[in-house]
Amino acid sequence: MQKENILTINGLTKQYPGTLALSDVSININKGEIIGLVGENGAGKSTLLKLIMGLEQPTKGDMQIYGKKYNPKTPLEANKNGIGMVFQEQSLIQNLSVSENIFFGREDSYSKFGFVNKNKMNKDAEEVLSQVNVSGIKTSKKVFNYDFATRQMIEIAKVFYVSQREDEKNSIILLDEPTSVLSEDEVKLLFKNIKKFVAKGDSVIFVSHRLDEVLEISDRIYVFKDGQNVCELNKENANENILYEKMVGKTASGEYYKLNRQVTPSKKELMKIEKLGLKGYFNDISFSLHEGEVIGICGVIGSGKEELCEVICGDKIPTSGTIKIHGEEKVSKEPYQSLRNGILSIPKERREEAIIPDNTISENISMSNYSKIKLNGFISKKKEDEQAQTFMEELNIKAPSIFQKVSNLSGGNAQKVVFARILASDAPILLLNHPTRGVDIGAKEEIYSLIRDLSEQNKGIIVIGDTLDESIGLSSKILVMKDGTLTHEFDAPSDNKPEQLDIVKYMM
Amino acid sequence: MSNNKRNLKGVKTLFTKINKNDISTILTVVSLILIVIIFTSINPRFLSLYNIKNILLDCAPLLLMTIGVSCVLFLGSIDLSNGAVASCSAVMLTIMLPKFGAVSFVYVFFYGAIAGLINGVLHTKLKVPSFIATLCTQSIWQSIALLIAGGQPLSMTPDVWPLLKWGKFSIGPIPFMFIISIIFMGIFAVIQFKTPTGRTFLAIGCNERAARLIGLKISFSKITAFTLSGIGAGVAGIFFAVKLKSGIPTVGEQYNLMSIAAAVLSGVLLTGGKGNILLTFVGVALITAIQNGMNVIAVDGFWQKIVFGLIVVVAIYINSDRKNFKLIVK
Repeated sequence: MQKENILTINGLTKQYPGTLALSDVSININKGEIIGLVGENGAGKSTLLKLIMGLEQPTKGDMQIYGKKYNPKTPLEANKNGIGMVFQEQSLIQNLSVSENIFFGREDSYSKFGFVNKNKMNKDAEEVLSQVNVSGIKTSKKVFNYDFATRQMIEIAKVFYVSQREDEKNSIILLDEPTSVLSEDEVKLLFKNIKKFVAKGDSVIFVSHRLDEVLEISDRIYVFKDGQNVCELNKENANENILYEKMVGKTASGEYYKLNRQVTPSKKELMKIEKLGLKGYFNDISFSLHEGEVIGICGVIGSGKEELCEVICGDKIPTSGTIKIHGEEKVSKEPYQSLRNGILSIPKERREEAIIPDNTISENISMSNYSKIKLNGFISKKKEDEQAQTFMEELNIKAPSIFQKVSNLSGGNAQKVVFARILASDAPILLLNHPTRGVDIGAKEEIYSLIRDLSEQNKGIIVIGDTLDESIGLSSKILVMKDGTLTHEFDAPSDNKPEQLDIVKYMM
Repeated sequence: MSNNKRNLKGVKTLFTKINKNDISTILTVVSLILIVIIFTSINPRFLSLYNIKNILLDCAPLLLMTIGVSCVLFLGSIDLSNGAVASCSAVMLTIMLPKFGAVSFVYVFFYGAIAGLINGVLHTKLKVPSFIATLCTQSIWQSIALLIAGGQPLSMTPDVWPLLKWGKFSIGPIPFMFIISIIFMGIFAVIQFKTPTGRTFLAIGCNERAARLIGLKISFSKITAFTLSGIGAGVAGIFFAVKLKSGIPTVGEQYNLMSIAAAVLSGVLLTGGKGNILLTFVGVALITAIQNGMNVIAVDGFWQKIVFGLIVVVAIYINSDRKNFKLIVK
């Protein structure tokens, strides 16, 4: 049965100065379909979404919606045509209420003599939320009261609402990495909502790095590579290996986490954490980290694992307990003091927390350890550039030169710059908070082998994995946290990894 | 030989830096040339050797204040007090010289540094937004200057004139004061490009959260930037006093706006994260040329202030990154 076609994209091309982001891409979206878009970072998925949303203008090619020419100049125009997008970065305004956010820019229908009827607005907002099956949200409350995952649901509800067409024809929702911050339950809820949504005849474009999710939800999958649409697969014909092969151009290696290189940690203790606590987040956490050891911390969102990391790296001050390094108690009130004690972290939000976007690759790499590039007490540009050049080759950072601004790099390459900085810092204790977040599969593998390199160099590593699988694969010891306490400790030698299910039992 | 090569490379990197800097710097250079042509055509004496020397002499204090305030602007913060600090240091020098002799210069230098340090501490430790903190200290130093001067200009007594002689020295048309200010610019540039603290200025302005987690010393760098601004203002105050042989308690007043204007014209972003100490010279030259030119063609002093106000607004408009709606709130 041929379904009704909603959106047709014909030979779309986008040329940025220096890079061809999208080249001659043609896809079509039918009524009631869920389309998965997969590809490595920089493969052109985000660019395509931006063009569809009118955030960027194509260099060549055209789009048609319901057979009519569609050339949006602004996201508002896209909304009017029934296309809405949930952005990777949230676009809700934190200090407005939930209902004000949902009806942002549409207050006219609620205003009388210039005053907004908030009661009616709150009621209607509840209606909008219930349509996507989200409950337990008070629409008069400010958005910052809710955690990230809930905000994501609010945002999705909002987008569902704003992209209704006037002629009541079906609309298309673009979801750009909607699950990266959601817990498993929330992902399930989201998928349930998406299915409900498409049952009404609307369509969804779903972009994610998690192939299993894409496979689970999509009816059809388009694979992108280097700005081109390399293949189109029906759900029945796709599996993770095929997708991986098409994306990367090589088959997935069974040695994904480089288990053969997992180091048995030495007996030498690097750091000892004793009864560490941060009021309201976690308490009474004790463990020790040895040379060459990789400790994975698992837990759901809100279990306190993120805050534990923030305390260890000096971003937050603990309310109780001590951190001992080489047996000596160290107090740190600022991240730079922790760095002096030998602890450095890769924070979760790369763009906001780990790079200086306007600085060059070279400058970013040297930032955590200037003493390495000093000559006669002053920074030597020559030494700095040499160092950057070495790391660029070693880590295979893809950029025109070391003088490129980091803001121009793709997620994977920016993350490699962050790793280069960590390597240059010579810090013996590393906290890796979601080290492969928003990074494509090729770069992920490189990062895994880097982590192995680091543990071979006798560094102590604490990792919070992007997925449970990743935490298990990388770690030699796993700590499970729940509601701010340590619930269990697993040994995870390379030949005897614990099962996901066993770990999840202690998380929930 | 190798030394020569290194110097050549230094010049080269300077040029690549200029090339990378965008439109505002180029526009400033173009306007500087235009301004010179216009003023010269109105009054040919504008380009006379005597007037060039005058312009360079006027440049000196403004350059000092501009390189100082630029360090603060790099952070995305602002220093509104540097004019008042300059006035106060001019008055202090006038009062101190007869009592303490040449060592007064050192005292006043440290006064400037401490005034800057206070701004930095207020901003970082007490978390007062720099805009408010420096607005308050501006008011305080201005009042102190007026109080200790008794509300009127103080003149230097003839017995200390020998200590002021150096202000008149010059090598050809290049005044000694100008050379000193260029040396300060060199030192500030070394701090910006060659020390971790200076590197941190721009990093903070660009992404303070990341700079902190990277392990850079945020508070220390901020305090240093404010201190440098204070030093620039303090030395500028010395220049004012030496040049005029008197301590005028309002002498630095208009220089606050002028120094910010010069910095912005040279490509310093008010939201922080972008700028180059060496390029601020271009902005300073343009501002001084406009001011001097208006004097040469006899424009009323009150009109001059209107012109500078307009210049700042226009320069910020040209300079601002309109894709990025950062506001100055730091």
